[in-house]
Amino acid sequence: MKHLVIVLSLFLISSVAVNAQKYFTKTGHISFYSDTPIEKIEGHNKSSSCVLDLATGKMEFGALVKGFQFEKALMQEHFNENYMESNKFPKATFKGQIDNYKDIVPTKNGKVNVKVSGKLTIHGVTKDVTTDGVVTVNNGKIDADAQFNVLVADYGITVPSLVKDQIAKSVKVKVDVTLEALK
Amino acid sequence: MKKYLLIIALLALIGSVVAYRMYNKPHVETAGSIADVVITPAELLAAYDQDEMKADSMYLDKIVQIEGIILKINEVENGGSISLDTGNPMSSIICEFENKADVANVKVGDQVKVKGFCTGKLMDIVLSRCSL
Repeated sequence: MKHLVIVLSLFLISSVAVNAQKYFTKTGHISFYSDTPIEKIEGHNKSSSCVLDLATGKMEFGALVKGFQFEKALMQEHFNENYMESNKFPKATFKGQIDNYKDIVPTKNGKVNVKVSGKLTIHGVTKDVTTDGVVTVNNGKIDADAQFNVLVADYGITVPSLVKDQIAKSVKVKVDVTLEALK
Repeated sequence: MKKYLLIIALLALIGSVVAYRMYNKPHVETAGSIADVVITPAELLAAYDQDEMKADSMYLDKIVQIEGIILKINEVENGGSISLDTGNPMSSIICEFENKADVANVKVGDQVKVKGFCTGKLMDIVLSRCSL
């Protein structure tokens, strides 16, 4: 009987620990920057979702394409209608893996440089992406930051020759999320 | 000859003014606009859970007005964001505001009326460029 209690409580403790391995946010910030000498364009999405499972290192992101906000209404319109075709492809996703996820200890504050690789889907096209990032543990919350470039042409997005000098061929994508433990 | 030049110059001027104004066309503000749809958070979520494509065709890019209880004030950089209760703990309605000051006077538990552009559903339904 005593053994059973010990086994049960061990089981409980371990299952609590396993539960605490998942971190998420629904208000992550994903932004992108297209810089050319003629025009700087940036879009910000502040309601991106991200789930990180520290038991496996798996990481998933999702963002609504229409959720990207621009300084100018016309940029937003062109982004949605001409380039991203957001009515046809409403979501952008990333499914990947932090290679060195074991270095992240959620109970220990500090910075960890990570390597992330996975599949990025934009405009209905999926490509392999690898990037460096920084994960910061801060009192039980996990900050994840990364920056990488995507080639517009890789994702089947065609830019008319008339405006080709206004839109960068390589767009910088920034990811900045603060994850909380999933209770 | 001089007359033609004048006309051409005038047309060019008008053209560039029109182009400039189109380029700087302002965003449609939800504050002061009449909502296209008035719905409850639970109804909006139910519509998305039932048939996302159909819900998108009905609500996407529309100004949606909803009234609900604030579940959470979300921390975002340069802006405001609140989550409204739908009755389902998995999915809320996230309302994004352009400025932090827009949501400075509300707190968790408050009942608020929000207008925003529906941008679709991820885990939560997102309304952008909201106003209270």
